[in-house]
Amino acid sequence: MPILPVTRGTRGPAAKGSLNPRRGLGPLAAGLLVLAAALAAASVLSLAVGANALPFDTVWQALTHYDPANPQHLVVVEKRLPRTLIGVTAGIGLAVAGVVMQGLTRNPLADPGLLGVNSGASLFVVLAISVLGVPDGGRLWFAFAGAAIVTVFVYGVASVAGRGGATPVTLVLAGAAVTAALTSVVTAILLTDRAAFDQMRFWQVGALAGRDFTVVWQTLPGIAVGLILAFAVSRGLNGLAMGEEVARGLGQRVGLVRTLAALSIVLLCGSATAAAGPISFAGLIIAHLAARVAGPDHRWSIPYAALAGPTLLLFCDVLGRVVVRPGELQVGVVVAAVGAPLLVALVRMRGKGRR
Amino acid sequence: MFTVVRSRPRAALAALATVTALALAGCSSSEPDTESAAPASADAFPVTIPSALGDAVIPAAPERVVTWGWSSQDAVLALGVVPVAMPKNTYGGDADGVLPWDAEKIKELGGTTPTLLSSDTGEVPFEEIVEADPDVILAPYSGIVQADYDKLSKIAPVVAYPEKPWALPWQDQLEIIGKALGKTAEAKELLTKTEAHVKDLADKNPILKDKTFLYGAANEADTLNVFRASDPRVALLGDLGMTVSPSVAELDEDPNAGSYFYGTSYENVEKIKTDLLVMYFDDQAAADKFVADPVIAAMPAVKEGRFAPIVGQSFVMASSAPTALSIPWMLDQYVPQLAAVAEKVAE
Amino acid sequence: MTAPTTPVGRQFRRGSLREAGVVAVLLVVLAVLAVLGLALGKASVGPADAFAALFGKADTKTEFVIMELRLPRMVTALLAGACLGLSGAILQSLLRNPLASPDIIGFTNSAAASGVVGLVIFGLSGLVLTGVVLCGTFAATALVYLLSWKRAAHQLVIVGIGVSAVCVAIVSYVLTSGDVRDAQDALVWINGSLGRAGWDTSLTLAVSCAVLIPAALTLRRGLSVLELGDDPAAALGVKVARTRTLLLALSSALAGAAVAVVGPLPFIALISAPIARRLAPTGSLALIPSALIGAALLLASDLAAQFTIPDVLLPAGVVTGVIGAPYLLWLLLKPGLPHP
Repeated sequence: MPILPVTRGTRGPAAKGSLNPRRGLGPLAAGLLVLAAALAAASVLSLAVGANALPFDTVWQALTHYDPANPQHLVVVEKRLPRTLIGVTAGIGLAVAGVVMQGLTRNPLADPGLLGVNSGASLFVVLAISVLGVPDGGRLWFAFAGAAIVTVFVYGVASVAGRGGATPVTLVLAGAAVTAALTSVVTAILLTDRAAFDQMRFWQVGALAGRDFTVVWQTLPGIAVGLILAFAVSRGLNGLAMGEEVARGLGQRVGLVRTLAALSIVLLCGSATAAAGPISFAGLIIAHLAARVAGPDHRWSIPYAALAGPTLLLFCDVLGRVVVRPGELQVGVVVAAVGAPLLVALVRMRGKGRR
Repeated sequence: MFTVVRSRPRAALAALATVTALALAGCSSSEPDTESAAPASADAFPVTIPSALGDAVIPAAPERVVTWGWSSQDAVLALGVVPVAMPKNTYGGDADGVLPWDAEKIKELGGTTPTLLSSDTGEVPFEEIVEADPDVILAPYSGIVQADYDKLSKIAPVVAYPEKPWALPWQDQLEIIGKALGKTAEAKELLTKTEAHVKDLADKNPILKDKTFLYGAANEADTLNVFRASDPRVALLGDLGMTVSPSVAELDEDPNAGSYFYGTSYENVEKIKTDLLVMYFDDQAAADKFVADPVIAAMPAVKEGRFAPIVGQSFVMASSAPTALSIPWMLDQYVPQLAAVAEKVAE
Repeated sequence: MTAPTTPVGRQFRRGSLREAGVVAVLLVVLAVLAVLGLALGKASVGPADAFAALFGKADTKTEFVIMELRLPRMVTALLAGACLGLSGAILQSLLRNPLASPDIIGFTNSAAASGVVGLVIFGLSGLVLTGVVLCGTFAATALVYLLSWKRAAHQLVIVGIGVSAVCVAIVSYVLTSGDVRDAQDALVWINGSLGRAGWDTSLTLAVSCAVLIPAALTLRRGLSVLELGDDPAAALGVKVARTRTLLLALSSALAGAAVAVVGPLPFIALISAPIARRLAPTGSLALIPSALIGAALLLASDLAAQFTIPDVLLPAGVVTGVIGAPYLLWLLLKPGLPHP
C-alpha cells in the first residue's frame, strides 16, 4: 500500500474515457488558457524587469526593431531574452518531470531536487571543472550526465528498498542518502581547489542568469523529446495510477510505459539541471498543483504543468531580481523559499491524526 | 604623491612609524642599497607588538620565523629572512605551492624552501607549526580567531592583526613585520624603495597619468564585481598616476556596505564611463569568455581595446595581496601592457 | 523494535549482562582509538613521549602537543560523537524508524545554515557562534515539530526534509554572497571539523553531556514503552505526548550541542544506533552503546581525515559523509527493514 495516496482523484478506479467525471472538458481547457496568459505575463515581466530600469518602450523596440549597436537593446535581447527562454525550458523540464515522476512512482513527493539528481549533476560538474579542466561550454553535458545517472540510480535503489516498487519514503530517503554522499565528495574536492570552488559556488545555487542562447539551443532538444515522450505515455500513466494489475488488464504494456516514462524524466531533469543548475521543489509543487487543478488524468496534468512550471520559475526569478536590490537572489533560493511551505502544507493536508 | 597610501589609517603604529621615519630621514636616502646590510642596525629587544587579539612580546631577534595567512612571507623574505615555515599557496603557486616572487627571493637569498604548511582549508595546522619550532609566528594578515591565537601563543609569540581579520594594508604589514624582526629601519627603507619603484614606473609611463580606470572581476554570472576606491589594488593603480573612474561611485548603490567590492549587473555596464577597464582572470579562457559576452563586447572600453586584463592565478594573487615583493613582480610585467592599452585612449 | 515475548524480567537480566559485555568491548575499542589519537600527528611526538606528557614528565613542546592539541581534540571528538550517537538513538526509537536521524530531519542542516549566516554575514566566532547555532537548531526543530504536530512519524521526517532543503538553499546563497576566502571558511565549518577543538570546546560538551546524558537515561523507560506504540504506552501509564516532546527536545539538544561546537558532522547520528542495536540484545534501546559507537566513529573519522590526503587537513565531516551515506543506502536496501 502506498503510504501517501497519489492524488485524491485516484482513490477509486474511474471511468474509462475521462478520469474526471465531475468536470467537463470546457473548464479544463479554459484553465489552460488562463495559464497560458499567466505565462505570457510572467515572460513580459521577465523581459521588462531588471537591474537597469529600461523603459518599456525600449524593451519593445529591442524586440521588434533590434539594433545590435544599442547597448540597451543588447541587454534585452542578449541577457533578458535568453534568461527568459531558459526559465521557460527549465520550467517545463522540471515541472513535467515532476508530474511523470509522481505518476510513475505514485509518489506525491517525487521531485528532481529531493531525489539527489542535483547532487549528481554537482559532482559531475565539479569533476569537469577541477579534475578534467573542461571549459565552460562543456560543463552542461557533465551536468546532464550526472543528473541522468543519479536519477536512474536513486530510482533503482528506492525500488529495491520499497520491495515491489519505490515508495515515497524510500525514494526521498534514497535521494537524501545519495545527496549526502555525493556532497561529501564534492566538498573534499572543493576544499583542495579554491579556483574550482569559486566557480562551483555560483553554479550550485541554481540560477537563470549568465546563460546565453547556446545553452537554450543545447538543452531544447532534450526538453522537447522529453515532453513528447511525456505526452506519449500520459495514457499509460493513467493506467499505472490504477495499479499495475488493472493496467495490464486494460491491455497496457506496463514495462514499455515505465521505460519511456523514465527516459522522459531523465531527459527533462537532465536538460533542466544542465541549463539552470540545481533547483529543488519546482517540480514537486507544480506536479502537485497540476494534479489538484487538472485532476488525475495525465493527458491534462502534463500540459498544465508545462505551462505552470515556466510561469512559476519566471515569477520567482523576477522576484529574486527585485527583493534584495542592488543584488539578486538566485532563482533556486527563491523557489526553495516558496516551495518548502508548500511541501509542508502538502504533508499536513494528508493523513491527519495518523499518529 | 602617495596620497591614497598616506590617507590609510595606521592604527597604533602611526606614532611609532613617524618617530622612526624622522630618525632615519637622513641615512636611508643616502644608502640606497642596504638590503644585504648586516643586522648591525637591528632594533633593541624585547619588542612588544600589540594586536586585536593580544600583545606579542618578542624577547630577542627571531631566527626561526613562521608565517600564517596571506602575504606575510613576502614581507619576511623582502627583509632578507627566509621563514622556516610558511603557508602553502595552492592557488597561484608553483607545483610545491610557492608563489613565484617568493621562489625568486628564496633563491636570491640562497635559502632552502621553507616547510609548507597545509593551508587549503584555512584551519591553522598547529602540529605542523609546532614542528617548525618557531621563535615568532607572524599572522598580521590572516583570519585567526582568539582561540587560535591563544593556542599559537603557547608555541611562540604571535603577531596578529591590529584591528580586523583580513584587513591590513601591505605598508602596515611590512612595518609590523619589520618591527617583529628587529628590522624597523630596513622595513622603512623597503617601503620607500617599493614606493619609489612604483613612482619610477609612473614616470616612465606618463601615458597613464590621469587616465580613469575601473577595476573589476567577473566570477559571478552576469555580474561585474567592482572594487571600491578604498581597495589596495585600486590604490596601487592610483599610485601609477591613474584616477578611479567616477562610474565606480555612481554605480555603487550601497556605498556603506563595508565590503571592498560590490556587484553590479551586466545590465548596467553600459553606464560605465572609463578610459581603462582593468579586470583579473584565473586564465586566458576566462578572459576570453568575458569579452565574448555580447553586452560586455559592446562596452566602449572593450570595443575600443581599452581593456587591460590581468591574467593568471599568480597575477590575481599578486594583485589581491600586493606586497613589497609582489608589486614589482607584477607591475614590471603588467605596466607595459597597461601603457600599451592606454595608448588607445583618445584624448 | 518488537514487544518482548518472553518474561520481561528474565530477558532484561540476560540482556543487561550482554549489554554490559558490549559496553566493555566498545570501551576497549575507544581506548585503542584514543591511544592512536594521542600518538599520531604531524608533530613528531611518539607514543612514549605522549604518555610521559600525560603524567607531566615531558618537555614543553611535547606537553603542548599532547595537553593542548591532541588531548582536547580527542576529548571533544569523544563527547561530540557520543552526543550525536545518543541523539540518533533516541530519535530513531521515538520515530520508530531507523532512517530518522538529525541529518535527515533537518537538525544538522539548520545548524549549518545558522552557522554559515553567523560566520559569513555577521563574522561571529567562538562562543557567540556556538550560541547562534544552538538557537538556530532549536528553532528549526521546534518548527519541524510544530508543523508535523499530530501527524504520523514519517510525516515528521518529510517535513524535516523540507526544512532541510530550505536550509541548504540558504547555505548556497550565503556561499555566493561573500569573498571566496570567507566562503571557504564556511565550507569547512559546515562539514564539521575538529580543527578548532580545545579545552573550551571540551568543557562546553562536557557540561552538556553531564546534563543531557543522565536526563536521557532517566527517560529511557518512557522511550522503551513508547516503542510499543502509543496506545499500549498510554495503557501502561505513560504520558505519551509529554514524554515524546521531552525526548524530542533532548535529542535536539544533544545534536545541537555537538553541532554547535564541531559543526554539522553528517551521519554519525544516523549510523551509530543501528550498529549498536545489532550488537546489543534484542529489545534493548542500546543508548549507551550508541553513544560509545558515535564517539568511536568520530574519533576514527577525525584520524582518517587528517591523514587521507597528504598536506590537506580535511574536515572530519567529509569522512563521516563518505562512509555514512553508503551505509544509509545499504540500510534502505537490506531486507527486513521495518517499513515506515
